[in-house]
Amino acid sequence: MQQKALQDKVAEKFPIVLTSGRLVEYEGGGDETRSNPWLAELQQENFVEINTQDAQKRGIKYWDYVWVKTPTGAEIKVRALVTDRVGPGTSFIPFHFAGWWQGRDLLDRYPEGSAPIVRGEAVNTATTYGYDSVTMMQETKTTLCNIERA
Amino acid sequence: MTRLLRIALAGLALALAAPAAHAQTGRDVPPPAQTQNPNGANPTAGAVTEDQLFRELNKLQGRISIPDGKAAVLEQPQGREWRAFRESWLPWIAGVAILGMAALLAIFYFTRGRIRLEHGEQSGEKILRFNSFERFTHWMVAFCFIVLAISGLNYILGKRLLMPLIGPDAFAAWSQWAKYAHNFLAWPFTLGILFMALVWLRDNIPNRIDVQWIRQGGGFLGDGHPHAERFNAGQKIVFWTVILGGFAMFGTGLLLLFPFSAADINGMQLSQVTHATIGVLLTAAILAHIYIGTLGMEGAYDAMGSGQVDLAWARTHHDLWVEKEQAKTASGPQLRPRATPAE
Amino acid sequence: MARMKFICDAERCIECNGCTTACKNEHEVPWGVNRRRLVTVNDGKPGERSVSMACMHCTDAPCAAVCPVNCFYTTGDAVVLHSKDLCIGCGYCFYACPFGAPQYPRVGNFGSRGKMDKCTYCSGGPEADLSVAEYEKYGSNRLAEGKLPLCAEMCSTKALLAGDGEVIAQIYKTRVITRGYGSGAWGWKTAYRETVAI
Repeated sequence: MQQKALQDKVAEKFPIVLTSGRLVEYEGGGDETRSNPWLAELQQENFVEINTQDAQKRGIKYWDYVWVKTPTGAEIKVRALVTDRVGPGTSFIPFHFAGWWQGRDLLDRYPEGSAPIVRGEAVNTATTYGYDSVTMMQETKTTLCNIERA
Repeated sequence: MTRLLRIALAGLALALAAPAAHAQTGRDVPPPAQTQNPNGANPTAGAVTEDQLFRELNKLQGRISIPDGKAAVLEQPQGREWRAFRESWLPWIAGVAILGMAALLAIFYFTRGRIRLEHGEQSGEKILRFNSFERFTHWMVAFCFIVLAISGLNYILGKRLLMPLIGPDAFAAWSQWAKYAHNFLAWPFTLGILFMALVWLRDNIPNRIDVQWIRQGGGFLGDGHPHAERFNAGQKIVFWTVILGGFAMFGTGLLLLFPFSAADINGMQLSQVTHATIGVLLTAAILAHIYIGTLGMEGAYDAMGSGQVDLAWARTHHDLWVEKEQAKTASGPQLRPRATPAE
Repeated sequence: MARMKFICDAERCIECNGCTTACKNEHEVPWGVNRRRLVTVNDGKPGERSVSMACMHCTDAPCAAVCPVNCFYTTGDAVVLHSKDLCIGCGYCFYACPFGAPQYPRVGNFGSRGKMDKCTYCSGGPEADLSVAEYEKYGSNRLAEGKLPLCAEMCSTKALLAGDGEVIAQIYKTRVITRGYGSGAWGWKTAYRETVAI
């Protein structure tokens, strides 16, 4: 597995580490909190935090739409939050969003009245399917990715 | 005196769109010596203070998670300079420009008097000076302008002059309607300005005859009548004032109608300052135009009233234009009740 | 009478937006109207600080000075309030306000951008205290109930303080002396022409 990744040059094709995490406004998968207008207003779109240097190399400006592509073949469309909060070669996407699938808003699939106010691409669709062999925990928190302007 | 000077400087700074210095009255005492931090890091080493940021930037701007760009501006002290202009300078500019113009016109009226029709200016024959489209355009712009000027001045002088008379509730209701009128009549006004520019531009290009007209004081001061084409130099000045002023009002007004669509907070302040200043000056200029078109000169009103003026009057005031019109055939675009022999 | 003020200790603010959410919920503030907001300066850089900002209830308030219909007034507690019955939604107060406090329900000025809305220091408006009309126009009136603004009361780190200017300045001063640093009382110089001397 390790060897195959080296042979396929995965690290070259996907040079940025992607990690996922929380926002203070939302909880868990975010369905309930994204349905609360007081909270939803504060974070209206899913985004990827990308370092200024990485963004500059890719011609990405603040709040542009970008595609985040990962080795599993997943592609998610999010806003680019160009910031030095993350170091070069690192990126971060909050995991409280769902309701988009590969750039498309699935609003019409929700039963009437059940759609949260804010929907976005779910980062968990882009992280890996593997697990950590020591702790036996599923690995949903990190992967490699590349980010391109949409 | 220093206060006045400061306001003057503030107004100047705004006018030049220069990032004016933030007036600072107090001074922060530097933080005391560092106490030991548990993890050894010095939290103040890289910390920003408001003071320091104001020294580097003219306003404090940051990031905000809501999609509202203007909300990301934390503090903008330029608001104080804008206030100084609006509250200290603008009422004076408006008052002096408008009352000053009224006073000038009154002085002119009482010294020179109404410019009467001279002997032989009433031939009974008429010549079409402005066709119905031109008159429609003129009166559309005129009506809009009067409403815009009154509702515009209401923003500046209303609370000083009108509110004490009618009380805050009635004044607020009136101001609300005045605001709607101001916002909506801006559009027919601009359209009219555009029509004016199209139909009258050709006749308003300055030339050598204008120099002569101005040199002779336009006939206002002496008794002679300098040569003039369709529009004399004075009318050309009015035309260009209205066209340039009108478009400037439209441009700055558009920015105010759609706030923050194309300008940031300082841009909005600058548009308001420009809009208000040009507005009051234009109002003063139009007062003179209204005076000369009605009270100031006998016979002039007919041109925009019925559109037809007396041929003899036209010969006196726009001799070159009459010659040109009459050189055209009788079946030409200008209507005449009787064919008049060319001179 | 107390002289009510806000102070935001940027050293303590963790940008949790608890204050903005508390405000929205307490007064049923509609989407797009942000009486209180959180701005992060120097984002991602050393020295990053977040400041919670709303109406500072200035001494000699610029909004009140420029209002063409004089709809502002200052209460005995030095809180700057306004009358939505008089407001014509011209937007001038936003151009004058150093803190971006005035908010409008609609974005454009074409037709109407609606009556201005801003932080009331949780003390309603010109209507009778605790009346339904007051709540509908301005939100709840906690001050009339003897309570301080909810944003400060709910602040999880007590970064945002509300209350009598002298009392909160003393609290802030004690903090700065105890921990040895502070980035200053944000907005005080602009709003009150004074600062917390340490």
